[in-house]
Amino acid sequence: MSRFRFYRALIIGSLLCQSAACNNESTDMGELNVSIYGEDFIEKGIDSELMSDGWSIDFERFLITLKDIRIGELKYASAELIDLSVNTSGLGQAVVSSALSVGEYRNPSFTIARIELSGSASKNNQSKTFNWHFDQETHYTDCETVVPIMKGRETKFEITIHADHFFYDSLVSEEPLLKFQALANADLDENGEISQAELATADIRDYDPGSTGNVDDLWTWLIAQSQTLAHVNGEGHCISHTH
Amino acid sequence: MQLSTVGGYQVKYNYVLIQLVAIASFALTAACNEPKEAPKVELSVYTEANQWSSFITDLNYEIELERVQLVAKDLNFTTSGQLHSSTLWKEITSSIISKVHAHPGHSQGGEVIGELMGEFLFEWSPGVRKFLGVATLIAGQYSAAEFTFGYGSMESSSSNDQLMDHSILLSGTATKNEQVLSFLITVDSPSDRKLIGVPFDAMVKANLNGELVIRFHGTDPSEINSIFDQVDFVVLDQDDDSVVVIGPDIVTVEDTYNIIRRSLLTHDHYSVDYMETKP
Repeated sequence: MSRFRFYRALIIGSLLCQSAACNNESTDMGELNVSIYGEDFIEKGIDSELMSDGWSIDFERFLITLKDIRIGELKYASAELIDLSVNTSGLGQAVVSSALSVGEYRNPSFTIARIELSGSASKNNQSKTFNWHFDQETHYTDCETVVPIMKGRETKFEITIHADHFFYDSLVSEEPLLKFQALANADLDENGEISQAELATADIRDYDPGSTGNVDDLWTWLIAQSQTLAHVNGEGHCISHTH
Repeated sequence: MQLSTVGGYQVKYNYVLIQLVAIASFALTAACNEPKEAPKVELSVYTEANQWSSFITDLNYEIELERVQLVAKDLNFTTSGQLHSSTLWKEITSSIISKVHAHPGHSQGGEVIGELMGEFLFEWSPGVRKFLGVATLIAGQYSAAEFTFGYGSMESSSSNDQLMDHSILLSGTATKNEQVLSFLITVDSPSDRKLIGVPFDAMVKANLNGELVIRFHGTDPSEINSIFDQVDFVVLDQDDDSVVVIGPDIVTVEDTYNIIRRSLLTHDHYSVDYMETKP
């Protein structure tokens, strides 16, 4: 081997060896199944015992528009409209399946383009209905999970939607309370439906918007919470942002 | 010795290749391994009243603050950029509501590269300059500070009974149309509530000779909102004794309390400044 070839081999070997230390891929394939799940909170409702003020919540519809799923080589741009209120008995709903090269994939990302929910809340002899939609696209990136693709095996990746965030009393607490009373109080015309217009004029009162502030009314509050709903594989967190 | 021509210059193949191997190896190693630790700086930290004590609210009350006290824990200093710290080269995102960690409670701040741990009583009163302790900071560009709100106790609030079990206390006067009302306000923070994003724009270098000063601003310096906007003191003085008391357990002033608490729990009304020490 000439000296030039020796050094070239040394360089390439060094690069491959050290790249392998950071990555772990080969050309073998496995199957990735992406699903979305709204947990029992959406499929069965939120029981009054979980709420701090005795209200219970039932969702009639919970429509999510999901798109731009990126996991390793998977780039799934199509927008999928999924009603998470359909009972799946804990299985969630399939979104897309794809063959991927064997390896460990980090920082998956996706976009929630729209959320539309309707339902009702009850306490004693009171009942309130709601029908809200949130159109601002929320991009979820750098999700804290590793997606392992193994040769000839199937791997599940679940986008988990936490609907209870809509009823949190804090945008920053690790242990927020679940409340509905402030939202119920926003029904100023007392027609039984809590409208976006009513929420936009209702002060957040003792809710905690965090250090940034800039959230003073309940509709803005719900918009802020709507940008925190999505997780991965149950409780895996993502960084979310809007444009 | 084998020679060749590269870009019009004669170079030694083996010399170039050895350099390439070394550079490639170093670059990849640096990407996977931790860099060396950056130098540390120790700076004294104070609270000090500034030109903050007088301001006018949106309802045209002239406010004179006489005393502001705040119970705080664990002061941290953060960077929003990249830093050669003892952890990793790491890009951190800023903490704005449109770009958040998708779950409440998870860090919205930058990377912590400086700290002053413990429990403190911040005090902003005319003429009062209070030493809190000596903070340790890694040299670098700082963008923000953060701390956790605490509650007054025998240890933190010394002889001040009015702050006992509360997070913040304010007293002063509000004047409108020659009517002067005094006020005493106590505010409770949610448990373990962090205040993040307190402006702290400073390049901290090794061998720096200065100090850090935490300030309180009755009026937000950037948005010109005051902590008492929407607060109508005359209406709140229901017994006409010219004294307004606002606190977490007083139902008749609940809405006003919530508004004031919200203001005081945002970073708009605080800042940290690096000040050169006077010779």
